[in-house]
Amino acid sequence: MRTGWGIEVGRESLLERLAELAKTGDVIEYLHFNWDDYGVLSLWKEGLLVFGADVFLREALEELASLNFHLLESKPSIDIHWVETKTLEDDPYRRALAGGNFDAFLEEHPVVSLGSYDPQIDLHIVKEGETLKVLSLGWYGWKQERYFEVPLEEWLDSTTALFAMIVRDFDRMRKTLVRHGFSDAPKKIGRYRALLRGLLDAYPIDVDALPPAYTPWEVEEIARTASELLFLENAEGAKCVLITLKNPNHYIHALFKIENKPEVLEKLYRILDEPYRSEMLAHLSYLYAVEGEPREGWRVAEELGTDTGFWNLALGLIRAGDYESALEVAGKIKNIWLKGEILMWLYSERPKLEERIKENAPEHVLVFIEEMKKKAS
Amino acid sequence: MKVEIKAFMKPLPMKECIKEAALDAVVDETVRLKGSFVSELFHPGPWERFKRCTRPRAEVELSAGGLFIARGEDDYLDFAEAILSIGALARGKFGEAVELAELTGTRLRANPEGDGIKLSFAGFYGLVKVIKGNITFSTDETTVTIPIEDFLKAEQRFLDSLAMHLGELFDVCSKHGLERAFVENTRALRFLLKVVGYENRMGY
Repeated sequence: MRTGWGIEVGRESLLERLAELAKTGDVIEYLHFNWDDYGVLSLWKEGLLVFGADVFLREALEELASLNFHLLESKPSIDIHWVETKTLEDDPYRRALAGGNFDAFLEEHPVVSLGSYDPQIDLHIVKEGETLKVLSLGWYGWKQERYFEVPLEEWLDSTTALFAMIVRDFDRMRKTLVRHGFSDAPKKIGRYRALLRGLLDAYPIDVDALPPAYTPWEVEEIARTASELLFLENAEGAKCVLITLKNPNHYIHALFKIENKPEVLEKLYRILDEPYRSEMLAHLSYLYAVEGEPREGWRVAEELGTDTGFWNLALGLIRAGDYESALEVAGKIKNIWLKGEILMWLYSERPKLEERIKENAPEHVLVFIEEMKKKAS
Repeated sequence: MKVEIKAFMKPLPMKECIKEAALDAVVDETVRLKGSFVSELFHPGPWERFKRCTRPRAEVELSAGGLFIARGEDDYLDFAEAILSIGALARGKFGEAVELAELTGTRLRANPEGDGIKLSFAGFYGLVKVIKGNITFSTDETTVTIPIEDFLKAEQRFLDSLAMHLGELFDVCSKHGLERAFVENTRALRFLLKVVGYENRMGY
């Protein structure tokens, strides 16, 4: 499993707090700053995003730790909230998502929301032998709900590495946080480290082999420099700056932070190494579609010929209000989840297209449409 | 000989000072070269700036028999530390203090030199030594000698007022959420109070 994270407390947030203090002189308010809260978290299974949300990182880490301790059936030596368990109510749409595996979710099973802002978002997890069956519910509405299976070992490997890398990023931020007077930083980070130590005791991974840690401001700085170079039409230079980020997660984050016209971005994206080239070009077809140049978007998506390319294009077309074309693009997507997402989105925007949406829709989309109709009547 | 140690603490304009410090910090953090060691060394971080706001100034004097050894406006905590250093020296405990300071990583303002200490406070800059029951203060120009017991009597009165002032200062700091600044600022002072054996009588 691929994982991604971002810490959204940058230099700006630190300076803003200082500027606010210069106005009010209220130190108590200034020091009341949850620097470990704001972030994003995402999980991919075989190239498919199965969870992605704005999260409170503090809660995300606590929940992830307690879930993994639960899965490992080990009791940590540190006080921690025990993972919540729930049962799922029978529901035709969810049954369609999980197929024959749905019955397992009727039993009591662990549920985590990984600290997401949106209380609806939940990962329902059933452990069967050495496999985890996961139903990802509620993120950005029905349209992105997904079912996937992942070997326990793979889950533990990637989430423990994710945990370790977030904690290391925090650790790297510590000096600056203390410099700004946030004296709770060492204490909070200490707790995360203790949790990490517990996780590693229960399930050892090679932490030294992980790519290096970066603070958010280091990533910002690199993205800014690269943007400036790109502004001067120097795509090669921008690439040279970007590849100094040796951590794939931060590298992708920096890439997404660079803003410019799609034509200019294309020059940069084209000279990137795989797999970043495909990923960013797919994003580019979205940008073209949103910026009102769907033809260019088509060109890029067709050149890539991948599901993510077409999915991005379709998403862009929906944003731009071109539902007919989006439907056409959806026909080219093979992955049922990506295709389903677009089709369900289209249905909620334009119920009139129902018949055409149904033409070659996956099973769960048909059930979704029936359910929506039932609700409406 | 009548020895007098006086310190009149001035009120702290905390809020104004914090506002100013925060403004300076914004400017400095924006233009400062990040990641540069030298730049970090010479530009105090925002917290260091806030900490300075919690140090009161004071009109201070140290006199013996009507003769001023030191006098003027000084940082209150620095002055108190200087007096306590002399107190530790007078009790023959300064060597112990230096050893403990090194072990605990506390930075003292007084530097040992020979069998005395080098001190600078409120206009006094020179060597303080204990010779045969007397404390001598020698600068480039003059040397003043006072008996130890006279100094200790004056010090006792000063310590009582110090205890009260520190209590007040802590209240002001805690009202602004800067308790930790108080603790960091008074570290050497509290350390020396322990060395001279006064800490049990501190009323906070």
